[in-house]
Amino acid sequence: MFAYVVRRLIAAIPVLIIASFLAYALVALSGDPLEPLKLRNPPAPPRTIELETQRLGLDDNIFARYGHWLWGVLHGNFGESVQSSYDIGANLARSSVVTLRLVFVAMLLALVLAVLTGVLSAVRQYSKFDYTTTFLGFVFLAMPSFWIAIVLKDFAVRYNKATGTTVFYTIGETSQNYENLSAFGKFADVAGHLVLPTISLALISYAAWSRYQRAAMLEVLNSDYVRLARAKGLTWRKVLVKHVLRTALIPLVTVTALDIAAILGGAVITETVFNWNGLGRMLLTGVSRADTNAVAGWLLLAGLVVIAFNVIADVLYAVLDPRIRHD
Amino acid sequence: MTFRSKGIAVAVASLLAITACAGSEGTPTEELLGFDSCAKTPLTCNTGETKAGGTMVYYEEQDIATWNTVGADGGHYATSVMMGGLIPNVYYGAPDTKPGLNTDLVVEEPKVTNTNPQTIVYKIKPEAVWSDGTPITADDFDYAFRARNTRDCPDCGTSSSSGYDILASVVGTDGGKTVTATFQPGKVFPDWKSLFGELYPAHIAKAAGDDKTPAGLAKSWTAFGKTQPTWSGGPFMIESYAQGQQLVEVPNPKWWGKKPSLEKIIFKIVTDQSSFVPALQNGEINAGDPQPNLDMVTQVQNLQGVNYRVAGGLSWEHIDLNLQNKFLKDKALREAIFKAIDVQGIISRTVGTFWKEAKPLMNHNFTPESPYYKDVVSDTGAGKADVEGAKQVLTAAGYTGVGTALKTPKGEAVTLRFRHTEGNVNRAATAELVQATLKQLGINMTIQTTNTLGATLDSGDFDMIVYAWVNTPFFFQGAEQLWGKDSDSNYGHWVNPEADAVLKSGVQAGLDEAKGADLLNQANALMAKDYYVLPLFQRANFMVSKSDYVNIRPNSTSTGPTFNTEEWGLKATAN
Repeated sequence: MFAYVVRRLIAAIPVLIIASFLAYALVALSGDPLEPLKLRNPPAPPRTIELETQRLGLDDNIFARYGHWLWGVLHGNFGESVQSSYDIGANLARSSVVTLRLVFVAMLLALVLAVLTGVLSAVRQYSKFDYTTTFLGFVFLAMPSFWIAIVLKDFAVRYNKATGTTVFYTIGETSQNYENLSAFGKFADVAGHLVLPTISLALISYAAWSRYQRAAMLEVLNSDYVRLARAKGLTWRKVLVKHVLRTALIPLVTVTALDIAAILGGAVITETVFNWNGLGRMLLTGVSRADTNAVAGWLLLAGLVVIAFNVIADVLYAVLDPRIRHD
Repeated sequence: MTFRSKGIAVAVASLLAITACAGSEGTPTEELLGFDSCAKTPLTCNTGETKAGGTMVYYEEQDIATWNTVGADGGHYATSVMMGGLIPNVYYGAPDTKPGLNTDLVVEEPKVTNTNPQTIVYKIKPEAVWSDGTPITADDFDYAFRARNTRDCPDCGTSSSSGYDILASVVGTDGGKTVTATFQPGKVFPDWKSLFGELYPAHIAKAAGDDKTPAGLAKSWTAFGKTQPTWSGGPFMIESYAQGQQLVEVPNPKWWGKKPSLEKIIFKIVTDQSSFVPALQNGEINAGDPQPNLDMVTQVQNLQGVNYRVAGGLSWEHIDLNLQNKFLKDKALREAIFKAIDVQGIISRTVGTFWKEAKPLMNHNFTPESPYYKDVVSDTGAGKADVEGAKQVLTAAGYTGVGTALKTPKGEAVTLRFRHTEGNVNRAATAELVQATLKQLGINMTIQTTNTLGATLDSGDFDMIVYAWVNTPFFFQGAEQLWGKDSDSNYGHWVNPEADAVLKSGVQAGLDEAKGADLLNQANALMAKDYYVLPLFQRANFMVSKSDYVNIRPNSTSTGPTFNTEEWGLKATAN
């Protein structure tokens, strides 16, 4: 297994390099980061434009620029940002923590809800519960994540207004006075800020995952070995938990691992709407400023996360299904 | 930074007296509250007594870009707004779009003591000090001069060297409290009030790098950009900063002017415009000047306890023609195009959707808020949607296929390419409307977007293009730069020796502002008759504040509303 994981990781390196170069080139060619400077009124001195061109390495060709950037990354330096006071590496690290907290909690919520409703829907196929969760699943599947986020914000504002409290927050990760709060106050503040974006992000994944879980459960429930297990006298609960659920989780693990890129994409939108200063903000700001180094750093990180989750999924297959072993 | 207390006190007293004499309903103070009167009294609207304490959470759409607001990557509006309470200046952009004198920093209006060489004398207040107690002196003026003139420090990138590049010297006397700035002989800089608008502390620069050498100057100048200021020369100073989240400012204990009422100002970075209204409703922000759109303005209009104002800003949209294009070299075609375009129709489809008072702009140098604004466009017939008149011009000039498939007198089919910035909805709508108009003349116009506007303009890769310029209270340098024959920003290559001569004489005469402005208008009228640039409209400026905050006012200049943060406060009568 260890050798397999190492092989997978080594194989990912050329993929990452090619993908990061393409991303780098696309961003570099998509806009001129010095455009605001060039269009100033009164104009910036030519020497200033020259200095900025040199600082950002814009006078090199795209291959040389990418080479410098990659060499820097290998040495822990993500290069100069269009905004001189902006430390790309430090921001990647800080933003990752913010986003991963959101993504982790949202994924956990979505998985728990998806497994629960998927199992119950399958076990009680064509019941009122099944019809209700099916309907809701399709509703959430059809809704764009930004729309769900806006509806949730509207609900939050109305709730706070009606109760005269501030239970839910619509912008940011914490309040302005966070540092002055007690331990419980800090917990409540973080929770108040986390709840809406988490629900918003979780609902999208939940909708798809619950459908996968339901389908997988139904397939396993109707298989011969389940009937055999029941015929041999095993309790329904034991059959369900030990034989059906474990097998039916394999497709969900695959989907979850593959969906991580989509979830990160969803997080970009969710973070934007709820004004979280995470990876989503970093990407959008980088693209709007034509900040090639920042965007390339972001994409490299996203690529690493996707590869890591795919490897984790492979490992989980083996854990869930004893028939699968990676030699 | 600051609209000073002394000036405001006189103005408010006058207004109070007038309103009291008029015997109007309500107390005089109540009549000054809110933004309703800002159109007529931009310097004194929303004036009120404050009570001590309170926090203002101010919405900002962008993060701090650099701590050096005039460094190579400086010149960002949001950064200037957030740093407005820290950085001392002699003049700032006031809400009436004129230069406002910072009477906290200087004893009196700086004097032009000589015209050749042009010499300006500034007298700094004796009590003016940085937050560490070091006096603000001529050294700080001299540091700005040497860092920005591009000669003493070639590697000090600056967002603008205008004026500094023709200054010869900056000398301090009276213990550094009198500053004499002398220009090079024969050089005139009518926009001298734009100088020393952002003063950085020279004593801190010295600590960062040897200020006697170009390398040392560059080191300190760059350090100002990368280092969060622990210093202040204004009413507030930075308490904390969380990148991408918020900048927290508290009163500067060494501030010598009017003591701020607020305990804290928090600039909350909110990059998603749609978050503005919910956050305002939810009490997470108290004020802001976001980029407006129809949804936002409509929602704000329906809120209780909120002051808001939509008005014209200093940024203005226009359509430029490339006079090097083989078709557009012909003045008759240009005249026909400009006459046929429906500027009011464009406004109705764009900015007019949320700003009902929007009108066509009729000047290339001034907006209607300026006392020098003069209509130089109407007489040319441009922008009036006069398709029939345009057809007559073309027919008279020998064009054929007018209204069907336009051909030049030599028989060549007229085709044009209109460019606009990718993703800009208003400009896309403008392009489509112009396309439909030109079709009525028989012109086949294609639309092509660009995501590199600067490069497109620089290379002249357009026949027609729509974009915006931003005016400033210091208008001479802008006029010369935008319309001068030899200017790099004359992207359409317009040449009119007569207009150029008048423009130059206007700049030369600029020390007499009214005379200089009149000459600029004369040059502008000549340009309008050449049908080169068609002004469309001012972009809207939007200011919103909870009504329990007073003395906060809309300011469409690049200084922004934070020019008087020491006066901001919670209304004394508010519950």
